[in-house]
Amino acid sequence: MKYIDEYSDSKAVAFLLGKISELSLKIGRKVRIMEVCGTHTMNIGRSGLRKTLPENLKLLSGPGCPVCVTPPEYLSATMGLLEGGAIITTFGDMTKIPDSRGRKLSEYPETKVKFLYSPADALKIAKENPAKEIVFLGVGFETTAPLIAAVIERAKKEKINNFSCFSSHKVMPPALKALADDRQSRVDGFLLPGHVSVVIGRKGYEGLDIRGAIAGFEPTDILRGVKELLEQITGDEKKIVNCYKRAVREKGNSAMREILYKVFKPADARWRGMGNIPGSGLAIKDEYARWDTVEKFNLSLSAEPEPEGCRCGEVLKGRCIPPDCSLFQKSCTPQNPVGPCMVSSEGACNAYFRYEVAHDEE
Amino acid sequence: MKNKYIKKEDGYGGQATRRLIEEIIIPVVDNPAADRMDDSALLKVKTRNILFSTDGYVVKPLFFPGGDIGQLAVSGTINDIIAQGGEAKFISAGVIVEEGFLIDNFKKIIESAAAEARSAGVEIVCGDIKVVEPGAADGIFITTAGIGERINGLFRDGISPRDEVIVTGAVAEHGAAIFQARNDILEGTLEGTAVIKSDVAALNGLYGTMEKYSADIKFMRDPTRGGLAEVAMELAEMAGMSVELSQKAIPVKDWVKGLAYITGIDYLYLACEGRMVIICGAGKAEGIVKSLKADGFSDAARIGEIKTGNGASLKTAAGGARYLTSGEIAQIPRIC
Repeated sequence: MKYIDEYSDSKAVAFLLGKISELSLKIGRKVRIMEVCGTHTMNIGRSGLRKTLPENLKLLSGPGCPVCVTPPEYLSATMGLLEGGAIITTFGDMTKIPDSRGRKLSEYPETKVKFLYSPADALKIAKENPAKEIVFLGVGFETTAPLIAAVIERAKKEKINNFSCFSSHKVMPPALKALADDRQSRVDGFLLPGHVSVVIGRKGYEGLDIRGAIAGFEPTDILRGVKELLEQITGDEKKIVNCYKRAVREKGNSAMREILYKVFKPADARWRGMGNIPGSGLAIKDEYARWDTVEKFNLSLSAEPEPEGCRCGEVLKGRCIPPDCSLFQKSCTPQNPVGPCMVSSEGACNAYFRYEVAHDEE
Repeated sequence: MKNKYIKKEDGYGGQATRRLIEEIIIPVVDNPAADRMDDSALLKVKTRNILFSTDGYVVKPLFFPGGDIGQLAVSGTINDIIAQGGEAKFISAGVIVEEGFLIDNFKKIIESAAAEARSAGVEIVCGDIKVVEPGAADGIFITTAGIGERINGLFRDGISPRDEVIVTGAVAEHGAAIFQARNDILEGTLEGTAVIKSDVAALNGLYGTMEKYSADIKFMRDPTRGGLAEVAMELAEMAGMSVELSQKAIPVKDWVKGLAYITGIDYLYLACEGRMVIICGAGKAEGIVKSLKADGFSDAARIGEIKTGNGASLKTAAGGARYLTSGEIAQIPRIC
């Protein structure tokens, strides 16, 4: 198929793999590259690339799946809102994650929890249920936040006052800084998220002291990014290079950032497994407080523990890979997940379960 | 059974469905023909090998691009008989319809069921109709049962390494068409609605190849719910061998690829309703594919082979390899 098949052409892939092998051999030591975006993780699995890479090159999955990095207390607070009579609207993956007490949104009837493809549908539901409070679970990065900002803006304009957004939105660059500073993660280079980069541009990463390659999502895109990082290592360089020029501009998409920062302001945020990262969250501005679930319901969130034995936090930081977790594939499966990385279709554990390990029939 | 209630997944046709049947139905029904859990039961009537099959149809929407519930209810049961090596002969239909259902739509559904049977050389010989209160049957539900006769000589040999895997046409079109009909993903695009069609069809066109190559064909299964991947996984488990498919060889239309690409669904897990997977002995695929093409199955292709080992895997177009696992479910309920 045009513009898709070309990017998984086996000859082009073989050429890039050859280069990557040469470079890895030259470097000699173990190289650790983190793909930050969940879609990268998924497509590495789906295209079967991991097994084709040289022995000393390790691809680690980072904190790029929005559902995975949402802290447990956010889910508990959501359950509280639900019990209080609010209708929860959300993207699908959120409904399958157990909270600290093992409850899931998917266990509630469709009249109380509605999963949406477009956040704009939440406004429709609000209009149809004027006596109910409609809460939209705002989970995502620079990519989804502008859409939700536009919805909040519309709610204000149309005075849809029974709608509010429970924002757990996050931005990438501060998390990258935290990972680069994390000694145990020992990341040599980052495959930077293509979609986030469409919004923030190459310029959005300025000031970070990391090796980075902005990469697209097809096999050749991913390998090109890996090759770029290996070249930087052999050349002893540290810079951010845009390897996804067909989608990412130097300055990104200013229209999207404009609506994003019209409604949201930077705030501190807790990331699952990574703790509090200053300036890494997006809170709703005071002018829109009426549509901010936290303000409206006077919520205060305090940190809750991870499920026992779950190593999602370490997976998200690249400190271990999913099969290292003793729950993986045993008590934790996509049908019966313990941690968020097994739930989300962009989660690292889910990707390993689906594509990287053989399955014994029980 | 661990669960207290029937879940949606119990109807997907995969592991959950199997568990439900194995744990609740098989122990009490306890019949050697049923225990095999094949698409249709092989019964000995005097000296003849009779195949008997039944299936319920609850597809939503009732009218979808390329077909409707009437056609599907007939072709689906015919194909279950064919998958067991049979030539389908007779069909019965039980119809449960809601009060208030449009007579015009009812007529359309029955007419397309009749047309499908006629063109497949199958007679609809008996039936039943019940009317239930509005909302009790989501419009209309149809159950069909079919009788056929086994073609002599098929499935003599067991599956062994180096056997070849064939599919009779482009995959995933029914699942993709239903998904599109429910979500309007491609609506208004250039290639849009004209090309989007379910592959729903009775596979009576396979009879010629089945007869001609009966000594070489070892196994057949129609990749309905769970698609090609589910068949590969079941086959691997059943044979205790590994099934290796090649992504490049698997026929798939551009519109299906595009829809899967946009939505993130893996098309290998989307249902077909007019395709058959055939396993044949080593070196026999070429002749069978040629015969299929001559009989109008123009996209038929050899898509993989059986190896020692276990599990189903895919050689990707990019040149990598990955497993096909039950972790990946194209969760689209009520497709048939």
